This record gives sequence, structure tokens and C-alpha cells, in this order.
Amino acid sequence: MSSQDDVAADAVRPQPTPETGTLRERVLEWADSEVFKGAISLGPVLLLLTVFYAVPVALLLIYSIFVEDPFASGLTFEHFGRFIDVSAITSLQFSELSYVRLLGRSIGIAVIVTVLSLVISYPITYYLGQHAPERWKIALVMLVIIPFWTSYLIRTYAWIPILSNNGFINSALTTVGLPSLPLLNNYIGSIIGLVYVFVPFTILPLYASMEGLDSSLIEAARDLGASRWEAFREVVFPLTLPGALAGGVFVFIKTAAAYVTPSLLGGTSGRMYAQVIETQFGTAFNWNFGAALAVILVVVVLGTIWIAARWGIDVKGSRGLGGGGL
Amino acid sequence: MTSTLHVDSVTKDFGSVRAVEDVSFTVDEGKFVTLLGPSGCGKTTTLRMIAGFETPTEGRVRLGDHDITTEEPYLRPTSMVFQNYALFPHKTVGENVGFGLKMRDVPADERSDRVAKMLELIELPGIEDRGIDELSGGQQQRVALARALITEPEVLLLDEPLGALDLKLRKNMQVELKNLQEELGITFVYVTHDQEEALTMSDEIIILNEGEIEQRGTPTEIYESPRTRFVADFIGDTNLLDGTYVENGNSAAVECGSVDVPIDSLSAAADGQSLSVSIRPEKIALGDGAGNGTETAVTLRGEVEDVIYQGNVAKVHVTIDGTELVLEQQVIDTVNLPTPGSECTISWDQENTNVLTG
Repeated sequence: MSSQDDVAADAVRPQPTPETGTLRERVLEWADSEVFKGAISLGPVLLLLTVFYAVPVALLLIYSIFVEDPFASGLTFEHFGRFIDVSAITSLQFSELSYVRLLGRSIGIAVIVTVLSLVISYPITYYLGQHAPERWKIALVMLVIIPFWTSYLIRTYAWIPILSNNGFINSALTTVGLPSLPLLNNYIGSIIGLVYVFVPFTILPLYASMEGLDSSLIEAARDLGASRWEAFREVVFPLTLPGALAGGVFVFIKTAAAYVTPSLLGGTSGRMYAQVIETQFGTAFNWNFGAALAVILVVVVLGTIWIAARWGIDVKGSRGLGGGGL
Repeated sequence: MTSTLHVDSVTKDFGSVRAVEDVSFTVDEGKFVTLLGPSGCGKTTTLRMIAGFETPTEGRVRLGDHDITTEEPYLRPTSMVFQNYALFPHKTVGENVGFGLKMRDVPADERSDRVAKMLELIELPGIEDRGIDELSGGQQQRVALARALITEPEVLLLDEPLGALDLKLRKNMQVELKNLQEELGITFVYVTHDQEEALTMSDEIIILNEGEIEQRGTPTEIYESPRTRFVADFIGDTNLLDGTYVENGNSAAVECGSVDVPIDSLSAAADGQSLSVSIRPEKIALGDGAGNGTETAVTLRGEVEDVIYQGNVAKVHVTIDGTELVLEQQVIDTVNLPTPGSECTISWDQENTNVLTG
């Protein structure tokens, strides 16, 4: 028995008796083993992920490959076939591929929202991380977080009186004699609503990167002849790319699967893929096809991110965009 | 074209804090001038105003006839070496050194030639493709220097560039920097809080304290003839005695407690005025009690209080009626070190007594 065990044994029972030592020793030894410690520390997380993530995803996969009730009906790929619709491709009737087009539009909107969020976040976080007075930083970051205190749904509804045909923006435009713009019930409404909701998710990681960026690097670039734009391109952007990627990937995933915002603000042209999935589960009661659509979304989103990550790694490998001049 | 750097009555406020107050100096082309002072004395702010990272609240900065007070940093013929080097971590050594040329649209071929030459100059040839994190602190320091010099600036600004290096490397770099500066003939404005570094390298030293210039002079002038209490105390070790000025016929002295330090009579000082004197420890000689009376020597009688052996020198603490003076003796022979408690005389040449007016 090592002295370490002695200490542990004393802690359990102040007066150890050698006679009962064998069982207690074994228990203590087991309690001290790496396997037990690993299970204790990782166990809750593993349990949580299994129950709330792995099991539902497995269920989706199972539903997607059965004709109807899982294990009670035959295995099939007909649901995936309905998505791709080979006959429409062979007859070159691409307009018939409504699900593919809808997914394409969702991915397209997700890319636009991600890029817009980053474009908006860069100047804000550059100011917050590099120029804001120290005592104001916390307060300004709080301003970014405060909207989360209100329901996402209510905040999205709030855009309707702003964007509608006789809403704030269009009233202002017509008052000064400009034509009104169709901002609601189309994809522009979806994009505006999604950017509004997701900008904080790019601001926060990008702010962390900006905050960690040594300001003397920017000064050095400026001192060596870089204009503001060149200093951004050569120094700020490559060094904050990890933060931008972290925020961008998150926004992309969430936007590609967006449901509430396009439902409220998107109308027909802003309709997104997650709404169709909902229809299959909720209205059509075709859980198998809905599951197949969900599986396709997961695969496409993960594939897109995989490509983006490869690109991101290449960027780092070449030590910055446009940095390979020498 | 002579491009003397002029800093004219420059003041800088950060909110309600005045970092630099009415600082003026000129630096002739090709000189090595050091701004020396404790942290918070305004030396870095002054340097940053020359670089263009800060705009003076009042006053002008000129280079030759050209007013550069509000010119953007990237348009100024100045280059800065940063305290933490500020090398771009995502770029190779070659890309770092060539950055300034790239920003000036120098073609890639010429750029790589000049980078190679510059790396030879700093004695690190052929490391273009290395990453910054693969370099030692000393190598990073040299690369930062190369990056700043490649654009052939008229003035090189250095903000405590050796601060992060260990002592031995720092001493080597001091000599190398000085040699490089003489070889290139570029004006160097160097900021440090390390007085020894300033004395080693500078043609001239400007001592700053609380945003104002205390004294400006060559290293010898600064060390041998400090004018203010602050300068005497900040540069090197010294015996600082505070007292009052007493004039007695054609002789004069500063009464410092139990010790009268004779000085030349001052036309500017009135009887009874408070004054301080500074005597460097190495200027004081230790006698055996007999005295060594040359005409201008100041000789005092006292007792050896303590002897601190430091290898090449020994610090001897002597009390004269309760006033302690420290003197420094070369240790040639450890047997002859004075013993604490013994009677002694100390003496120094009167011209080594510095009267401090500020």
C-alpha cells in the first residue's frame, strides 16, 4: 500500500483497521485507476451527447432508409431518390428539381448571411478590440449580447413593421420621394433577419481574435509603408482569420438550417430548406422523407465546412493571403 | 540634403494626463541620440510622435525643412524597431524583412536580392524561409532591425529594442548596434531606461523626467557633471548630500549635517540656500588616516563602517560623524581591504564635487 493510498484511506475513515483492508484497498485502488477517473470526468458529457445528439441523429438516419415504420417496413433509398429525382436530371428538366434548388438557395442565403455578418463584424470588432477605451469595452460587448435577453421570435417579428411595404423604411423612402423597396416576404427579408440574428455570433469570436492581436503589429505595418487597407490585408485579416472562421462556420450552420426567420420574413422567394423539412414532419406526416431531407442537409453542410476548413488550412499554410510574394 | 530632426516644444496630453511637456531637441544627421528616463517619463510617447503613431497636442516635428507633425506614419522617412519586435508571426523571415519593399511596390526579384543583402548585414544569411517562431530572441531582434533598415529610413527609431534579451546578449548587441549605426550613417533615436546602455552607445543623451527634459549632453557630461539631483541619482551610483550653501569670504561650502563639503563660490546662490552635492564613489580615495593633501583635495576623517566585496571592486561605507559616504575601491589585493571599525581618511578632488542646482 503506497503512502498516497494511506492518505486517501485516512480521509475516508479516520481509524483504518488492517483486518478490513483488503476490500477497502481494492475499492480505493479501483477508484484511483485511470479508467474510473476518465469515466467520471468524461461520463456526464458522453451521456449528454449520446442522449441528446447521437440518438436523435441515429433515429433520423434510421427513418430515412425505411419505407415507413422503421424495422416494420422494407429498406429503401426512395426518399433520397425523391430529393435528387434522377428522371428530371436525365430529361434535363432542372426546374423540376425543386428540393435541390431549395437546398441550393438555402446554402446560397447561408453564404450571403455569413459573408455579410463577417463584413459587418470586422469594423465593429476592430474598433472594440483595438481602439475602444479599456473601461468601455465590457459595456460595448454587453450591448452586443443584450439582444439575446429578448426572445428570438419577438425580435424577428419586430422586423415586420420595419420592413413591410408601409413600414418605417419604406415610409421614410416615400416621404423623401424615393420609390419603396420590396424588403419583406422575399429573400431580402430572410437575409436581413438572419444577419440581424447572427451578427453577434461572428462578433464575439472575432472580438476575441482582435483583442488578442498585438497592436504594434499594425503599427509596424503602417510604419513600413502599408496604407490602412494594406495593413488590414497583410496583418489584421490573416491573424484574425481563426476567429472569423469560428464565427463564420457557426453562422453558416445555423443559417443553412434556419426556420423561424424565413417563415416570418421570407415569403416565397425567401423560403428555405428547413421549412420543407418541417412540412414533411408536421403537415405531410412523411417522417421518412423528412428524415432523408434532414440527413442530406447535414451531409451538405458538413461537406461545405470541410471544404472551407481545407481552404482555411491552406491559407494558414501559405502564411497569409497574398503573403507569398517572396 | 541635411535632414536634422527637430522636435519643437512638443506637448502631448492623454485626456487629463500630460505625458510630455514642452520638449524640444534637435538631432543632427547621423547621430546616435538616446532618450533616457524611468518608465512613465514620456520617452516612448516622444518617440511615437516622431514615428507618427501619436500626434502632438502642441508643437511641431520637422525633418530638415519638412514638417512631418501630422504626416501618416507610412509616408514618413522614419522606421521603428519595436520593444517586442512586432514581427509578423504569419510571415517568413524573408516576407517580414521584405515587407517595406513590397509596400513600396519593389519588384519581387529586386526585393529578394535586397532581403538577402540585409540578412547578410545582420549576419543571418540564408534564413529567408524560416518562420519567426523558429528564431531565438537575439535573432528576432536582428530580423526586426533588418526589416526597419531595408527601406533606407533617414531616422531609425528604437524603442527599448534590447529589453527582452539576456544580459550578455544585450551587451554584444549594444556594440553591434553602435557599429551598425556608424557604418550606415543613419540617425538613431534610441529609447531606454537602462542608463548603462545609454552611456555605452550614445553620441548624446537626453534625460527625461515626468515629461520634461532634465539634462542633455554627451555620456561624459551626463555622468561626470550631472546638473540636477534627479540626473545624478538616476545615472550610476553616487553619494547625494543635501545641505545649505554657506559663503565665507572667498571660500564656500555646502553644510550637509555633520559634513562641510567645500565648493567654489557660486554667484547664483545666496547664503543659506538649500543645495545638494553629488560625489561619485569611484572618485573618492581611501587613506590610512594620514591624509594626502593636494591643494584642491577635500579630505575628511571617518570610520570604516562596512566593506562589501563585489569581485573587481569593493564598496566601502565610511561614516563621518554620522553621515555615511560610499566609496569604491579597485580590488587588486584582497589582503589590503580595509577592516570595518578602523579609522580612515577619505579624499577627493574638489572638481569631482558636483553641485546640483535642480
